[in-house]
Amino acid sequence: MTGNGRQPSEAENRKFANDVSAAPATIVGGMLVYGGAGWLLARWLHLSALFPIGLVFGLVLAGYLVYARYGR
Amino acid sequence: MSAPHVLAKDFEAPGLWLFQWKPLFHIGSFAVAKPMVLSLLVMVIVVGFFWAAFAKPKLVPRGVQNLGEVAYIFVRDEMGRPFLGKDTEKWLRLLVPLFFFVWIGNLMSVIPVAQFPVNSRIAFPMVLAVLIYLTFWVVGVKNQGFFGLLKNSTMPPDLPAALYLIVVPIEFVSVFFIRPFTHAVRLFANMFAGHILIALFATVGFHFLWEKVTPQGFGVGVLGVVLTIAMTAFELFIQAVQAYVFTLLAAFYISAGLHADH
Repeated sequence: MTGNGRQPSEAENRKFANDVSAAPATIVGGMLVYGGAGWLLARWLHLSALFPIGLVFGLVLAGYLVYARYGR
Repeated sequence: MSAPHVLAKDFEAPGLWLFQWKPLFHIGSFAVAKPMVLSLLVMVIVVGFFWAAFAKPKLVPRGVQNLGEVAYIFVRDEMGRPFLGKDTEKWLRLLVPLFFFVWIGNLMSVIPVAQFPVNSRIAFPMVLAVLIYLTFWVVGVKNQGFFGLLKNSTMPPDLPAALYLIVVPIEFVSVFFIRPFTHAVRLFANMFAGHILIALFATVGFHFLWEKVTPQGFGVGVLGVVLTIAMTAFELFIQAVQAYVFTLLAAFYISAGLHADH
């Protein structure tokens, strides 16, 4: 994982596993949370457009989050 | 009708019925079907093997104990230690049987007469994933406290403060709800799809080389047989990989309960 011939430590392994397993879960989580909020608002306000807006908003936020946490 | 349509007129592809089993017998009102019998058989095999290997351990291992030690060390070094470090030994009594239960359950797919991957019924991986999820909770609350676990799992360090407002709900959903779900579905879906593929190619071979032999269909049948063999080899590989991934993630989730994610 590190590529310099040294055994990676547990903390590094955990971080690696967290990064690769958490990134997709974060994307799905973002769409679920904000898509869900959009869906509820859409039903409440009778504005069906809020559901797709929430979905896209959650996707963009989660994408930014993955970048902020793992991309730098 | 074009040629392929005439050729495949009577061909019926295998579908979901592959996974639906009639009860073999009843215990009271409790119906027992083939997948359940297979999973019990897998349990007997795993327990029997490790019993034979370690019931009377010798300092210098011989015979089946050698094999048992290789199996144990493999799980310890490849799946346990990368995440659990010095805590590994304690958790191996869960991880070793977990790996072999999943792997041999998957292996049932290619064993004649059995020929059904136990984990292609989602209930089996679901139970295992829930077991790991509950372990994560118990270990997490014990080591980090209830609120410590919530905070450490949903608030990654080193983020701008304003970002936490949007991070926390997303992380909460992904750690506490999506995680156990993907853990189970990953194993289930791989076994399900693999079983359908093998069954499809085998049915093609059987149909065109046995049930309805025609000059035009002969090549299709041969292709079906060749692909059945190739897919079986590929499935053997996937079965081991999925058991490995399932156990590796189990070790990772437990370690996330033991320590804060930093």
